[in-house]
Amino acid sequence: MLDIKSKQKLVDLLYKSGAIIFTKNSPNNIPYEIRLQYLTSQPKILSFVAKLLWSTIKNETFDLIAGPYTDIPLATTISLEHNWPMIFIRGERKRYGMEKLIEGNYNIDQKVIVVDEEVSDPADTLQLLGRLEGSGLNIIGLFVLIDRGQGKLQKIRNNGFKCDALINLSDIFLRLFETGKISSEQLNRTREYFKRKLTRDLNLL
Amino acid sequence: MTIFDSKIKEKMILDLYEVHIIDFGHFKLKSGISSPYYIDLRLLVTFPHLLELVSDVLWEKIRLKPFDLIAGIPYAALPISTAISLRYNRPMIFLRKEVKSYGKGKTIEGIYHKGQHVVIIDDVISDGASKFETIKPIEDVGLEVSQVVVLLDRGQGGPRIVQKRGYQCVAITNMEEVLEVLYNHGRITYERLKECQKFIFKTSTNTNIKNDKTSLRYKKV
Repeated sequence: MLDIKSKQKLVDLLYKSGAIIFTKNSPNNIPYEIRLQYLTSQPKILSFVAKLLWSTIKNETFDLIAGPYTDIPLATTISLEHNWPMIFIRGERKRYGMEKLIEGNYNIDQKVIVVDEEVSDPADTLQLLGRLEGSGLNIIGLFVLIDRGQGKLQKIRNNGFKCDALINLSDIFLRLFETGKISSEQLNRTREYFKRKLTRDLNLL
Repeated sequence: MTIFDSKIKEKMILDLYEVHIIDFGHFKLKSGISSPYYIDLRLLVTFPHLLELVSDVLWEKIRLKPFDLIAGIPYAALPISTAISLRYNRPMIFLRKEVKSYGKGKTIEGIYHKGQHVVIIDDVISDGASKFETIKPIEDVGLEVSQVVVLLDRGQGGPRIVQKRGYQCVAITNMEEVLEVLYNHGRITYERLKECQKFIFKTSTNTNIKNDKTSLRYKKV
């Protein structure tokens, strides 16, 4: 798990880069937006996120880093900066030629760490993990940048996979409030939004 | 090409062969024909140091023309453009091939502004047609294509076709050069060299080849 200082630095960086913004909202709208594509466009930030992810996985024993085809940059960054081989998983198998479901070399029984920005659809994530296991690989765990709540990471864990995030929504909102980037009014609005969403795993002060 | 450039390129070709990214044998291509060689640059992800070397070789060409953004064509070029982005601290956009049911075609991910110049990167170029599938969405959002840089020219006239449509297009190397380097360094036999050269001749649409009827399609500029 990340220490407080690193979490704070990460949130500050994500906010500064424009990856997290607060929108003018009406009662029914989502009060914030997290645009992770802003992350992959900025090499220094991508590099920092990769460094933090590495600090959480480096104590695990593994052979390969794996990323979904939807987020090749993050896995590639970790791979390059720590000289670790990676594989990536395609969406669907092509019917012709030499195209495979998993790109990159791997051997059966190798241990794999999967990295992604977040779990947006647990079903998609589970399908991806299933594809890796179906190819004979051993999944050590899934490590993501952001836990956006709604029990998505728990769904992955319920299927027997270790699953951790660098930061969650309360890390983000508390830090933004601490640094004066959002007002207490915005903080309350956000809390109300989540109350309405009945998200029980968000614990705001 | 300086001596330094060609040495680096040679090293890259030898390394690519060493790890079987460049491979020889009998390979069935998607067109149905059998090829005596196969090159799979998606395997670069297994070899981070080699991925870096490839990105450095491409950078030598990329840096010659000003640009704001790098765009890699999915999927083989995505790790390559990420490597360039990280090593040379340049922002990157990438095209997402939509696979969800509500939308087909490519959308662009990343931060960009109208009028910015983009260098498009790909691993190989055949007849060039697929490059336009990337050029179009990029231009549609108001970006300009500065140049297209590719690692390997398959010898089907791709760079020329792209250039004819008004875009600068350059390939770092081609199969002739790859074979020459491998043969000169004793990695492949003379028989293998000839077999591959014959195949390239047979399947090439290069206008420099005499008596090739397909060359009549392209007029000399």
